[in-house]
Formats: sequence, structure tokens, C-alpha cells
Amino acid sequence: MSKPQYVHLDPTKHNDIRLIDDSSFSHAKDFKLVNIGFNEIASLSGCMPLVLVKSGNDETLTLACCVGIEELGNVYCGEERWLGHAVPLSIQCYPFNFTIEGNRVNVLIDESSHRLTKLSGEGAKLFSSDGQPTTILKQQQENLATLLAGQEQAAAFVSILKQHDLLSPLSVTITRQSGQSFHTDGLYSINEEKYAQLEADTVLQFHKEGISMAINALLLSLRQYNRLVQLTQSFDDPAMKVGIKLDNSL
Amino acid sequence: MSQINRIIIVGGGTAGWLTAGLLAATHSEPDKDGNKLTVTVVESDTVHPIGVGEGTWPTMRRTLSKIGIPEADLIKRAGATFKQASKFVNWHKNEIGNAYYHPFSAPQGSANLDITPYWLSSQDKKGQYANDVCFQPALCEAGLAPKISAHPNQSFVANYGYHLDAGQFIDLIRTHCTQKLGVRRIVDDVISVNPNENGIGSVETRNSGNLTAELYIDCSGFSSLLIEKALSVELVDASRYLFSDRALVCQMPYEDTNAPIACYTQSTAQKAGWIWDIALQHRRGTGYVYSSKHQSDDAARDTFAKYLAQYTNAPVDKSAFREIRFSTGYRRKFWEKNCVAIGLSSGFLEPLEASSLMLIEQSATLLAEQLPANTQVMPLVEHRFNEQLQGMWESAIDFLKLHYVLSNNNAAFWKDNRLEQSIPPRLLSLLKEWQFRPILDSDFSKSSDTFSAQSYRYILYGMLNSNSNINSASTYRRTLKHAEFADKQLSLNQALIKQLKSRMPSHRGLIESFY
Ligand SMILES: Cc1cc2nc3c(=O)[nH]c(=O)nc-3n(C[C@H](O)[C@H](O)[C@H](O)COP(=O)(O)OP(=O)(O)OC[C@H]3O[C@@H](n4cnc5c(N)ncnc54)[C@H](O)[C@@H]3O)c2cc1C
Repeated sequence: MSKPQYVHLDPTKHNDIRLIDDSSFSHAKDFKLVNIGFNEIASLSGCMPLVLVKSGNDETLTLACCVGIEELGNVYCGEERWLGHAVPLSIQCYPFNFTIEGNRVNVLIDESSHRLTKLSGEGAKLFSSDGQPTTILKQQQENLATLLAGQEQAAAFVSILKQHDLLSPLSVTITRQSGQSFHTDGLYSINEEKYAQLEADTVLQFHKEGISMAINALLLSLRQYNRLVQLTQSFDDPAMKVGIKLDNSL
Repeated sequence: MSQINRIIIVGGGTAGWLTAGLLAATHSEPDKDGNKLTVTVVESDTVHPIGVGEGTWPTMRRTLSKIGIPEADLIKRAGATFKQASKFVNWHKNEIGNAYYHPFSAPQGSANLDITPYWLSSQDKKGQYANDVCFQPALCEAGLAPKISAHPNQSFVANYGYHLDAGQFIDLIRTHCTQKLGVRRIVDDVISVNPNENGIGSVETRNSGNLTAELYIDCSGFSSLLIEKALSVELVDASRYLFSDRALVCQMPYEDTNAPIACYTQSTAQKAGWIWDIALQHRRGTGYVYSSKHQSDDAARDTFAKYLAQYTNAPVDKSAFREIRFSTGYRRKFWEKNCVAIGLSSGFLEPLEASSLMLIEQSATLLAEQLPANTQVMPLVEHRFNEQLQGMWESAIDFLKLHYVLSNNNAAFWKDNRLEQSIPPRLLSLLKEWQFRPILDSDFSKSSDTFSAQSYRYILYGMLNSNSNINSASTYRRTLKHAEFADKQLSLNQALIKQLKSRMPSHRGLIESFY
């Protein structure tokens, strides 16, 4: 796939552009880890593993979901549809994205996207002729706003987890039929032992703020690694088993 | 006694074709002998329909669905747009502004409780009544559509009627009536109407001979060929309440073909009347309705031209304005013997709240529903019909007059409109009571009350001054038990506005989605 070319969305420049549906979200077929918002934890945790990932050179941790396996790619991208009941918001938002410049949020569009066309028979317009966003675009703008809010909340969530020292390295090993195995490092999840030892006040506060629920969802979601494995069954040399090691020492 | 098998409608304007459609759609089945009702429309191709009447009520949605015309056809074939409200500009000026809305949607929470008394007695800083209690004025101001998409099963978010091109609308209903509903059409001039002891004996046409039926509908417009010329049923004059008697009409193209389309009818008060401004897909329809007793025709042309000049760079050609003269009033009887008058032949009220098309829909629906089986029971239906319609017209007059009595414009036309003798008695007594209590649903409990208490609230409280009596708690002793509920509705309204703004397409966007 060509490299994304994100530019500012502009009612004049993009007036005749039309957006084509893609229910398999094929632009994401090589994705493995996808950033998610705090507000997506509940819906995604029953569908795919949720983890924290060390990103870039600095030590920032981001909340993410795992949708793919090394060399096999995104296992949820089926031929015709997405093979899960939930789709991470940032994938749904494509070909749109946002940047924050000063205190303004600007909407971007990937001009290289295969989802865009100028042919009038296909897809739906982004702007009506008066330059106003259509329902389709407004829906996408709302998704972006939710995504932004969710990512801000996710950052706060991560810093709470750090502050209470609740994170542990997670290592995941996936073995394929041929015996070849892949090992992923740099992932983190919740240290259950430490979590169990929290002060009563903190537990109460976590409970009130929905942190406990999120923590439990994160832990439970690790079972979804099995689904990832299952989803590779139609591939050549499918994944056969997954080993998860979470360091729970105090 | 004879069975009613044949109906002749004289006139093929909006009234004639809507009536034909409703009659034919309601009575499409044959009886046990295989006889079907035949509906025939006789229309002249030398006398044209009036060519105005472009704003409707939400009732038009039901009327069209009864006749079987899908909304998409109306949008694509009659240049139609969506109407969510009337906006009254300069009718009343106060601290909050010089305009207010009469939206078609009810206030927040009205299914459970009328929150108006709470709004009235609230000490908090208030905005316009309609804006505080209903989300729709905000949608209108933002140029947003009343629903998400063109999809017919899409339940609408906001209540709406239509703006439509009168000529194209007639073509649309005519084609539907003749092709789908079996309505017969005769293009010919009626040259005389022959009365007899039953009412109308026959109508004579130039080329198609003498036509007879058991029931005749007069939809011949202002010429009132049957009800007035043949049966001499006179008009009950209502010009002492509503003074306007002229209209100047002009169709304006859009300067920018992609310009936003207003989703409401705008009525702007002028020296001796008001100007309507209706946005269709490809043009605007405008008109100045005024009282010739309060402004000369020349001065009225100037007033109108000045208004139009605000919207165009091209010079305004005053000689191109079409002038329409009218008398305000309604027939003493709408149904006389075997003749029913519907449309302009039945009377006329200035188009301030698009009541004409609505009264056509109401009359034709009632006629179709109550259609007598034979001539013997006809007088019974006649009586009921007349009583009901007289109530509807009188209630429409009260409601239109309400718009005038609250203005604080001091030009002669407006001052005269506030004189007590110019106010219909029922309205006058209600106005006196409303100084001390809110408008109640029970003030309008008759089936002929075409305008609801809620419409009255939007107008009355839209023109409220902060120092008016109803605002002061001193005269108010009613129990207000549900303050919490009412407060919640007010904040819900704000939340809803925010949500809708992020979801609804623009009005033009919605219309483009039909194509
Ligand atoms: C200035 C103005 C603005 C208006 N604005 C609105 C509005 O915004 N909303 C609203 O609801 N209403 C409005 N109205 C009212 C609306 O225009 C009418 O109620 C509506 O158009 C119905 O008209 P009609 O069919 O009764 O008469 P017409 O349109 O006049 O039709 C009369 C028909 O009779 C036929 N006819 C006449 N003489 C003969 C003959 N001798 N032989 C055969 N056929 C004959 C004609 O050919 C024509 O088909 C407005 C009216 C005016 C005057």
C-alpha cells in the first residue's frame, strides 16, 4: 500500500471527493498494534487483547490493542469484512486523522487512500455544494472527537497505572505450524499481585473512576490472544499456540 | 335519492388536484355492483392557477402519503425544500432581539408536561422562548436539515413541512392523480354553471358539453364560479381583523447557486404589512402582503424593492412584480346543497402561517372521510362540514391576528392592528386572561381549533417583554411542582442542540442526498 499522504481537509479542495465504504478496513491489513482510547476498552476487550506498548525512543507508554501477528498481518481483516464485533476507532476513522496545532484540532485526510474517488457513481460526498460537511463526514468528525478524547483519557490512565506501579512486562510468544515462533517484547500489562495489594482508599477511588473496570478488562482481554491464533487457521502455516508470560512478582 | 357516483371538480389548481387525490385515494374500491366513484377535474388552459402558495404545514406529509406521493418525488419534481419554522423578523423588538421563531417541533418534555409556566416564572436570565424550550430554532439558525438522510424510513428528528414550487407541485399531483388514481381530466373552460333545486344542475363547457354529477366541488379559485356566481353564497368579511388586501410577488434567482438554503419561511415586518421569503432549491419566492389603506401601491413597490435589493447585486425591476388583490374572509357556507367550495373559492386569509394549503388539506380530508353515500344523507354531512370549517377558519383568523396584536411597531398599520375593535372577540378575551395565567391546552380543546396552544405560546411568548405581567410572580399562584423536571428539559434542550449540530447535514446537503 502506498504511503499515507495526510493533508488538511478543505471544503473547497475536497468538494468533489467521495468516500467509498470498506467493511473489511483493508487499509489496516498490515497493522499489528493499534492505539486505542480509554473509552474503547469496554467494547474492544471482548474481541482482542489490550496491552500497553512502549513507543518510540522515549519511555512513553500507550494503550493499544493487538490485531495482528508478525508476518501474518492483521488477522481481523477478512476478504469481505472485519472479523470481529468491534473495530478500533482509529481504524474506523480512516482515511481521516487529526493534528493538534495550538489549541485547534485540525482534520486531516489521506489523499492517497484507495477509499477516495471522484467518480460520481461511487461512494458518498464529504461536502454538499454549499461547502458544509455531509452526514458521512460529520459522523467521521464525531469519531475523531471521540478518538481524541479517548486518547487523552488513555494517557491519564497510563500515568495512574505508573504512579501506582501497577505495570509488568508482558511477553508473548506465538508458534506457527512449521514450528517457527515469534516473540514480542516491549508490551506491558497489569501486575495482578500489586493490584491486589492496593490500599482500600485507592481501590475505592479506582472503583469510582472506572479504573478498576478498565484494569479487569485489560487483564481479561489477554485471553483474546487465543482468538488471534484461531483467526489464522485459514492462512498458510497458521499460528498454533500462544504463550503469554506476565511478570506478577511484587 | 341517488347514489353519489360522480364528482366533478371545477378547477385544477392546488386545491382541485389535492382534493381529487384525496377523494380518489380514499374511495378507490368498487361497491358490490362494481360501481366506482369517478372523480373528474375540469381545468381551463386559458385561466391559470394563481401560482403562489409555496409554504406548507407538516400536515402536508400525511396528505401526500395518503395520496401516495413519496417525499423524494416532491423534492425532485417540485423543487421542494424543508420548512422547519416561520421566523418573524422585526415584528417585535425587545431586549433579546428583533426576531423570533415559530418552530414546528414541540418544546422539550411536552409529551409529559408543558414547561412554559416554569420558563415564565424563572428568575434566571432568559433567551427567546422558542430557543430556550425547543432545539429547532438553533437548527434553523445553523442552516441544518430536519433529518439525517433522504431515506424514506428514516425517522425525522425535527418536525417539518415543505416549501415547494406551486406550478411544479400541481404538475406532480395532476400526473399522479390521472396516472395512478384514475382521476379523469378535462381541459376545457367552464362557460356557465346551471343551478337547479338541488344546487348545481350541470356545468357547461366550451368544447366538452354539459357535464353532470351528484356532487360538485368548486376549486375555481378567486372566481368562485359555483359557490358564489351560481349559488350566491357570500363571503363573511374579515377585513376588520386582518387589514391586508394586496400582495406583490417576485421570484428571485439565487446569486450563488450553491448558497445555503434557509430551512424556514422568513416574514419580515414592513410599514404596512410583511414580506414572505421562501427558499426553494433553485430560486426564492418572495412577496409583500400589505394594506392598501395604509400604503399606496407605489410606495409598497418601493418598500418591496428595497427589501429585495439587500439580496441581489442586479437592479430590482419594480415593474416585474406581480400584483394580486384579495378580499379577506370566508364563505358563509362552504357546503351548499350539492356543492362544496375548497381553496381560494372558499375564502382567503393572508398567507402569514401558510393556513390556506392547510385548510385545503383539512377540507378535502374531511370531505373524503365524510363523503355522503347518497343525496338523502347529504344535508346531514353538509351541516357538520360547515360547522367544522367555520370553526377552523375563525380559529385561523384568531391565530393570524395574534401575530399583530403584540407588535410594538408604531406605524399606523401596526397601531390600527392593536385597536381593541380590530381583535376578534374570542382572542380578545383570551389575551386578557393570558396577562394573568399561562396559555393552557384547554384553551383550544375543540377539534376545529386548527392551531394548538403550543403555536399560540410560540407567538405570544416570542413577543414577550420582560416587564409584562405574566412574568411577575405577584399575580401567579399556580402550583409549580415539577421545577426539577422543567429545569432538566431546559438543559436537555441545550445538550440536544449540541448533539444535533454535530450530526445533522446542512439543509442543502440533505436535499442533494435525494439526487
Ligand atoms: C399572495 C398569496 C400568497 C400565498 N401564499 C401561500 C402560502 O405560503 N401557503 C399557503 O398555504 N397558501 C398560500 N396562498 C394560498 C394558495 O395560493 C392557495 O390556497 C392555493 O394555491 C389554492 O388555490 P386554488 O387551487 O384554490 O386556486 P387557483 O390556483 O386559482 O386555481 C383555480 C383553478 O380553476 C381553474 N378555473 C378558473 N376558472 C375556470 C373556468 N372558467 N373554467 C375552467 N377552469 C377554471 C383554473 O384553470 C385553475 O386551475 C397564497 C395566496 C396568495 C394570493
